[in-house]
Amino acid sequence: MKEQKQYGYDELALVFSNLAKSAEKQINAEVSKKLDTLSTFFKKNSSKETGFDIDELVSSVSQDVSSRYPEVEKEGKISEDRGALRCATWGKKVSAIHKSILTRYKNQKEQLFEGKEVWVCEACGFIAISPQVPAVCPICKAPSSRFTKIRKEN
Amino acid sequence: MYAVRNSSLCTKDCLCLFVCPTGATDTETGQIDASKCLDGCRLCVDACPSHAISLMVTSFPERKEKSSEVSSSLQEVFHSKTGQLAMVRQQQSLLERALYHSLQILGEDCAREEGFMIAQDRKSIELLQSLLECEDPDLPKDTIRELLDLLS
Ligand code: SF4
Ligand code: SF4
Repeated sequence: MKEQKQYGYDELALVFSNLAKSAEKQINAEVSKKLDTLSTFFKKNSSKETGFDIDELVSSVSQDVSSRYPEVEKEGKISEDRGALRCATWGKKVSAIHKSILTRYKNQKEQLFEGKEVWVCEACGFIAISPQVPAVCPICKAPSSRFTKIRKEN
Repeated sequence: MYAVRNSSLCTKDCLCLFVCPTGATDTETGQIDASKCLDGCRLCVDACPSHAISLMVTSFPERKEKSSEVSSSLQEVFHSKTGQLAMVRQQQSLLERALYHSLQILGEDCAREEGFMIAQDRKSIELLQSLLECEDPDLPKDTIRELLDLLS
């Protein structure tokens, strides 16, 4: 069917991890677990094998900020699609943060993290590099309890 | 509608036990017995001081279709984000791990806006059904069939 052609394994991994999260909110552990199983399968079997290339990453993120998200905003406004507008508003801001972090990392390398911890807001994806967890997310205003600390060692 | 308890919010004040007319909240499993719950009663929902209980609908409203322009602009972002995820997938450094975690959230947000909001939705069901025809021999099709059963 058309979905299958439209979405590769990388997309399917995210579709199912998102559905798993929503089943969890419906307090349906059984469904959530099975959806997670599918997500993990697609994640593990993804064919895309591109290594970390900071310049390529910066360029892709920049295009999201300058054109891809603005396109969603433009179309979202025309169709009065509040969901798409919210997604684009937050996504663009978080991507701008990604761009800034990557740019700083190019100069400072690991020094960027010295004496700091790294936190990610589970609600919008905002990345904070600071000694303490932020009191509220500057982008989506989620409280500190919504932040996950990223571990330093693999 | 039936009541469900979010165990991570429950503070065991047990007001739900006192107010429930049927004893549906009085279980050993930590969850409310949906078969005893009176459709839409919500006494426990209003009584719980920790806002740990909510009512779950049994049938979900129809999702509003996106315009094709919104949908294709979202898909562009979706593909871009999965491409970026592939670049940091190995998660070899703190930076890559942070980006991976964050991009995962942005990608899921695209998936949600693409219409994959809940598993009960027609679009999710159709995706699951179409995957049954997928030729990858390793795909856990039993899991897909079990899911389709649970969701029907
Ligand atoms: S009233 Fe709320 S906090 Fe108390 S036991 Fe029931 S669900 Fe838990
Ligand atoms: S909604 Fe009413 S019947 Fe259902 S568990 Fe709560 S108090 Fe009991």
